[in-house]
Amino acid sequence: MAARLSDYTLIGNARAAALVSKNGCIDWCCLPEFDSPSVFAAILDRDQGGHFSISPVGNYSSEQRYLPDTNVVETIFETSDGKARLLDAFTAQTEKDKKRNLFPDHELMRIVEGISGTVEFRLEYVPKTYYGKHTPELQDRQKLGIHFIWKENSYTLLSTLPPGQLTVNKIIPGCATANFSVSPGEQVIFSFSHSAQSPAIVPELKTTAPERMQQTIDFWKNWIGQCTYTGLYKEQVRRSALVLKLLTYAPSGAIVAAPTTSLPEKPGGERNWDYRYCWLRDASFTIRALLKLGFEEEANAYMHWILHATQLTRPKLQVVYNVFGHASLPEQIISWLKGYADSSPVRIGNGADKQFQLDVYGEVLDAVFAYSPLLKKVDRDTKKFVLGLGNIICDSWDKPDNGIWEIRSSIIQHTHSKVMAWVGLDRLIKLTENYKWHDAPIEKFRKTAARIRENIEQFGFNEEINSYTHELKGCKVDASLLTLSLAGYCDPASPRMVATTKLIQERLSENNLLYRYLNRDDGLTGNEGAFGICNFWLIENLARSGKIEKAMVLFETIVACASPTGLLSEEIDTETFELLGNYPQGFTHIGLINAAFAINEVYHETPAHHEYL
Amino acid sequence: MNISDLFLWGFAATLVLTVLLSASRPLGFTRMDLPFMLGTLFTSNRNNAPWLGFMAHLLMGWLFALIYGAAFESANIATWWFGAAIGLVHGAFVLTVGLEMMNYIHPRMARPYQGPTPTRQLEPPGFLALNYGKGTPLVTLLGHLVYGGIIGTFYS
Repeated sequence: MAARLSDYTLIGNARAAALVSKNGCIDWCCLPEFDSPSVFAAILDRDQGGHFSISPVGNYSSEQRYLPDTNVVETIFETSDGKARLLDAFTAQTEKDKKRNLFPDHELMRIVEGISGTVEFRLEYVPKTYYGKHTPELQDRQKLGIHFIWKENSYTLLSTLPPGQLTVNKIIPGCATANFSVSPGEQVIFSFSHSAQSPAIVPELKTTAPERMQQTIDFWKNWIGQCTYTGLYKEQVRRSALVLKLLTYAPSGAIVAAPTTSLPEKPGGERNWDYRYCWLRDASFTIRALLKLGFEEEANAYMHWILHATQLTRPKLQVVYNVFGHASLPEQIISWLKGYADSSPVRIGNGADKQFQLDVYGEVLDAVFAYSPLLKKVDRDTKKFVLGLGNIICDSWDKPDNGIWEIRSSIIQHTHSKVMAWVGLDRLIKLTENYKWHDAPIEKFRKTAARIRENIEQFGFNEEINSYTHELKGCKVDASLLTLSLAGYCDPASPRMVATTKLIQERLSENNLLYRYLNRDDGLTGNEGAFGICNFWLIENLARSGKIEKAMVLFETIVACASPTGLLSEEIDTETFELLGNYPQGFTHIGLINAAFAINEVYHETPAHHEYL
Repeated sequence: MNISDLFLWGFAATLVLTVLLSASRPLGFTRMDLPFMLGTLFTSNRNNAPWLGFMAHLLMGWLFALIYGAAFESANIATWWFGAAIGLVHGAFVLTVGLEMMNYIHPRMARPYQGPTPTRQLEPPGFLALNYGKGTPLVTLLGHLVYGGIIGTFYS
């Protein structure tokens, strides 16, 4: 039986990440980058995937949390003999600190400390290369650690245990084990490092490792200290910001959707996708969230990534790119892994790269517009890029597309896509006016925007059900319509939007959680859970249309589903409230940040009305 | 060494190389913009970077032409194929060492191991500059083959 997703916590260094379970097991880690092949993938196959566990011998209970305001995870183990804690983190240093010493490309540090009594621990180190396909040959280099090489990469496990205590198992290939105990005040340190160059840099442990852990704690505290948000749900917002930072790829500024692949939308089902890539549809919500939180540097980097990553496909945009803008992400099935809770297939790559989504043009233009207050002047290349996007919208706004949910079975006239096409032109007109681009075809943009709006109001709103519909001339709703007001197409309190929000809630919600769509053939078997970000879109709409108490109830319902460490996945089971899908999911946390802002703004505008708190 | 030939044909070859690399971007082979990359060594102004970078590229084109000239004189061979052969080595050097070095001296380029601090804006090129698109090694080698071929053809 697979561990629940809420039993896992994310650690990382804004280039790679790992999931640590409350049992002290690293069950997912890809190196050197988010979308590199895994070294530990037990979350997708306990036997074949590879893992790195440090847990007490015998029966124990455990609890996990982040050290306050950091991405350092503390797991407290309690046995009948005593209590001990395990600290897990990818070491993080400022660029200034890095100049003082040599350091490996990545270092994942694990520190075991006794708290009370004496706790016996067992370590199992079973790395597997290429998603569990190969068992590496481990070399015991004594004081220089347990070492293996795969392609140009070298991996080293070091420890402060006496020589001979951490040993390569002579019977089971590719496995190293150790038994040790800790008493109060005792500390055992482990360091798993990766270097792509030789000679590999072997980090020193006894003297400097505690200092590096402290630097890591300080790094995260200083980073989140820049967060300017002080309103309602501050802790959840700050945690979401820290999650977003872990999903950022620092060398290019990209933000991946999630650090995992193929965690299923329904256990046992086939809805398993690789999310270790960057979706442009997240652009405008992401930029707005980063700017609201005061993280201008990250917003700069992300906008820079959008402008550069898209160059291979310009003027057309793809739905998804990798962290360096690679546009081709061929989808493959990893047949030798069983999948999380036997949910096969396990996929790598993402076939959404070949889809047409009209809405991404609007989302990117809205992101540029949201970012524009930081730009005194727009350079020629950026201007050419955004005007090119406007021309694409004018040429293709009336074409059917796969839509925001990337439905693989059909292309239709999605109302949401048309609205985002309108949003794109609206933002472009405003940019053209603000920056006085005299050569821009602003009249063409204005006329097309007016035609799109006319089309939406005529065919995208169904008088019989009194709601906007998921496709033109349709009679069904889906949760993407909640973004109409959030993107500024209409007022959340306008009669049409209020009626749409009400109908969406009636038709798509269960136990106060919202599905993105129901009763729709998406070409896949089985069903899925409530969709994280859609819940936050609903909450924003409710808050901004005056129903703040209801918005707060829904907000607190969904945050109660988060893991004990505050992480949310893509989806949630509406009956068991279990987290489903790739984890943690940046889009969901972006939704949380934006929804908390909306609630906070409305709450403080009219505090007298709210007796809820 | 015929300096005037090198000055003239080094200029022409650099222009052709720049045109080839520039044309390969809208055609979807690469995202690499050498003048922009060189220009941002000196300025963060995106409007000024391309022309500053082009001037730097031109100067480098002349400098390398002198090295090609020295090689022609030393080997006593000055033909298109010998120029192209030097161009192949030159292109391979740019891809494997030159861009990698630039990664370490460029004040606005992220290091591959940078993080969690946000990027310094420019993406690192990576092995064979593959981060800028899978066609990057191909067009870079082709451009330098043509560069060397032109100098070899017209050097007398």
